Amino acid sequence: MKSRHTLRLLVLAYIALLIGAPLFLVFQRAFADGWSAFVAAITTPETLSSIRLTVVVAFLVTPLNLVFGIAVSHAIVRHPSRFTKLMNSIIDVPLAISPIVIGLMLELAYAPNGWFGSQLAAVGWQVMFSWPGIALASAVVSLPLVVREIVPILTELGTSQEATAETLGASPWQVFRTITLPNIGSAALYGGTLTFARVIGEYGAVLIVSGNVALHTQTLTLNIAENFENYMPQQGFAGAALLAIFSIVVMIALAGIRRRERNFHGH
Amino acid sequence: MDIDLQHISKSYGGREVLRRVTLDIPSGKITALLGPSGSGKSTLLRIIAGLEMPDSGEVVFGGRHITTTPVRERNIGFCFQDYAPFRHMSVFDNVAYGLRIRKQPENTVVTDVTQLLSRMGLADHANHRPHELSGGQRQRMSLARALAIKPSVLLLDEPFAALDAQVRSDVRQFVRNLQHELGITTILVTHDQSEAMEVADYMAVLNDGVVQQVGPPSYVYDHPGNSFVKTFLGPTTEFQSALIRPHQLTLSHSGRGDQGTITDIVQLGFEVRVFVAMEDDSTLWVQMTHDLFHRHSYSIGDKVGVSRITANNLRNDTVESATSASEAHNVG
Amino acid sequence: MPAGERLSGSPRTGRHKVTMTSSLRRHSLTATYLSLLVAIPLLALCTHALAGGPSQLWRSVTQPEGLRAIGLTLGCAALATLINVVMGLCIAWVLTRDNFTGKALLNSVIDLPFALPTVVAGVTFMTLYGPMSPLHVSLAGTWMGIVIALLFVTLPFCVRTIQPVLETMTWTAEEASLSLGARSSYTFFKITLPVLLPSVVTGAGLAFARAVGEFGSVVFISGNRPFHTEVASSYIFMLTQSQNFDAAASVSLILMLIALVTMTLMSFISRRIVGGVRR
Repeated sequence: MKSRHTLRLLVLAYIALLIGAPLFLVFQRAFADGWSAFVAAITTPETLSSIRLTVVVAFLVTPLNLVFGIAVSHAIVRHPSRFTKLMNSIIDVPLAISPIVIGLMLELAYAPNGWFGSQLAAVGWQVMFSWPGIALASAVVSLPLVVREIVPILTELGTSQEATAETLGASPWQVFRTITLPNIGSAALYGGTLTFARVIGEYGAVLIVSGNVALHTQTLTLNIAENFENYMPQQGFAGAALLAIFSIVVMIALAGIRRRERNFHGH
Repeated sequence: MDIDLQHISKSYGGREVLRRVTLDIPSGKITALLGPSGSGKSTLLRIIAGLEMPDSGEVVFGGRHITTTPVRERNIGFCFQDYAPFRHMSVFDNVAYGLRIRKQPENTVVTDVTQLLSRMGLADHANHRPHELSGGQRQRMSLARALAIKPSVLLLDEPFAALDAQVRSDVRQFVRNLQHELGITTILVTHDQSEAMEVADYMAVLNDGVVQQVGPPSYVYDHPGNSFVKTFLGPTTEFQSALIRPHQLTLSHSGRGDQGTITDIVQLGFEVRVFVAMEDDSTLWVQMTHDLFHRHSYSIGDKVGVSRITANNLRNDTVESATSASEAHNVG
Repeated sequence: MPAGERLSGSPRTGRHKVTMTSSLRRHSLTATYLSLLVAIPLLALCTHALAGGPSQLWRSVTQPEGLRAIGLTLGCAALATLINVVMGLCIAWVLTRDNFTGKALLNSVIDLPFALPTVVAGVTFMTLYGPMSPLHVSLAGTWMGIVIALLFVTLPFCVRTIQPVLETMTWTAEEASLSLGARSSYTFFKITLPVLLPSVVTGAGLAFARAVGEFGSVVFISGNRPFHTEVASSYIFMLTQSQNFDAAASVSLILMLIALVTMTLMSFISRRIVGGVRR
């Protein structure tokens, strides 16, 4: 049918132009001068330091949000109350607001002269303009990701398996460990991967809270941006290509988790 | 072990689901809790199990008050309607679950579970996942899992509802035989009265949170205590302002009995249903066997007399049909 | 389960009510985490926004530069959402109802804008459509550049909300319509679209909210020229950098409210139009 072909063509052209072209450009510019130039670009002290900071923060924040995400999902689905509904709404907030606003909120609350920050400063903790601030901002922007993966799985799981385990003599913790956790494992892995990727890629919120001092509080995304602003596009594209490769690996991993989950349960 | 339920009451969001239910469950028998949806039968089962707590009343197991004992300490076996298989474990691990929780030594676990799986006809599937089993096999696995821990009472929530009709009757027999062999007190919740009649030794009919009648199924069927029980347990029709079983009525072409006209005939193989519009504008139906129907060759539009079957008109029936058969023979 | 029965994974004692305070105690750890991360900062934002009273809030929001920024953001977000609602539907349609080699690849590519860091998209678009563009266009510093960047980041939302609905749809109603003599296009608009409308609106809402708050991918190509190509998030950033916290908080609050109102309005309208069509 002719209309089917034209629709298909329209869609392919749109995707090619909107997504394909930028992706192609990133790699083309990054490797314009060859592989060694690329490696040299991503191994400058500033870039390496920014990579290290970004990765450390990601490995810190992801388990934290995973544990929180599992606990809160369990509360929302298995012990519903007005309070858990309130928590559910609050968790969705970071999804709806700009990362700049998130950065602003955190600065207002935790800067040394801010709300909370003044209490913390008294104890000698500095949250803003240092890596804890970056970790905090990353945790906030990725907060909903694990919960939104696990809640539907828990709901679909239903309570009969858990109740059966109880009738067979299992304590609440044993039920959680032997029945609940194995069933949400894939969803947790998926959400955790999304979280990790989101933290690595965050820009707007960390721009505000980090102070952006190279070699100290600069993440990879900030590093890339700075390179472009200082008219070093070659450097910038190298970092951008690195992140693009990372994103593609993440997407492959996510697809793999989805496929494994389907085979596992024989759907 | 016998179970006593004393004045069990339970409400959900303002709606009374169980109203002071008092029931004695006989030891070592299969008792059916029979009733329509919303009668409270599943809630009652869950309260016996300890998955829910009653608002008031007591649950007594063999003389011990266990109303507030948590479910995992009651040593019961519970089978859910959807069988609740542990999807991420093999059949073997499913059945072994309760034993492992109780820290039974692994070598005895293996022996016990293997034996049980053979008994249930699942020995070949020990290493399979639940989703690889058929519905009937999953049901047997769920039973095996509950029985592995040697519970003092077995609780089944609509155990046959999800099975195909053919498989259903086989599994019902299987469960009945198994229970007779093991002698374990069993309580089964169902909305299907034929199931209760086929499987249970003892029956409690519930409606709207209240026990309507208890007793052996055949007794309750023949001596229903009220119109709800009568209507729920079997077909009824109204004759001379009373509820009566359609198979207790008979038709006759001679003027005997209340007069009416046949309006519809439904043939269901062995059973035939004849619908009659009576002279007083009521309608009823008569249930008769295929043979009887064809002997009298009833058709739509016939004027017939409807009366209750007694020893007398049973004899007259035979005479009448013999007459019409010989007439037909003479003509033919 | 019979109606009115409570699903319970653990015995409910049913003898004491679940109150707010008992819930708080049970979930104290998670509640603390949530407060530190979201509740407290949100509160701080609101207090700063309303620090000088409603009149000051009004004044901050109605600064000429701010108004331009908000207007530009809303306009570009609306346009990008509109375009992607249509294209998202087309893409979801092709992905579920068409078949060709490379379709699986296409399906995977859709998620890329969601997985890719915004700054990567930002600098790439700047290069692709800015000065020295290989395509010989120069859209840097124009609203068109902003819209293109927004199209990129909002595409996954518009596709992924519609796709599952299309995949699980039964087409018997459409077949009935065709058998009654209706044309394909008529069938589509009268029969199919009303069923898809809720998911289309959800996707549009997510896309719009994302577009309104977008920063990393638009800040480069927009050039940030005040009064011309400065988007709301850049404006707020500028205010923050100049220590103008109360004003920044005020504008942020208004932006959040606008997004909230728009999404509520859209779901309300969709419910009115569809009137509870279920399939």
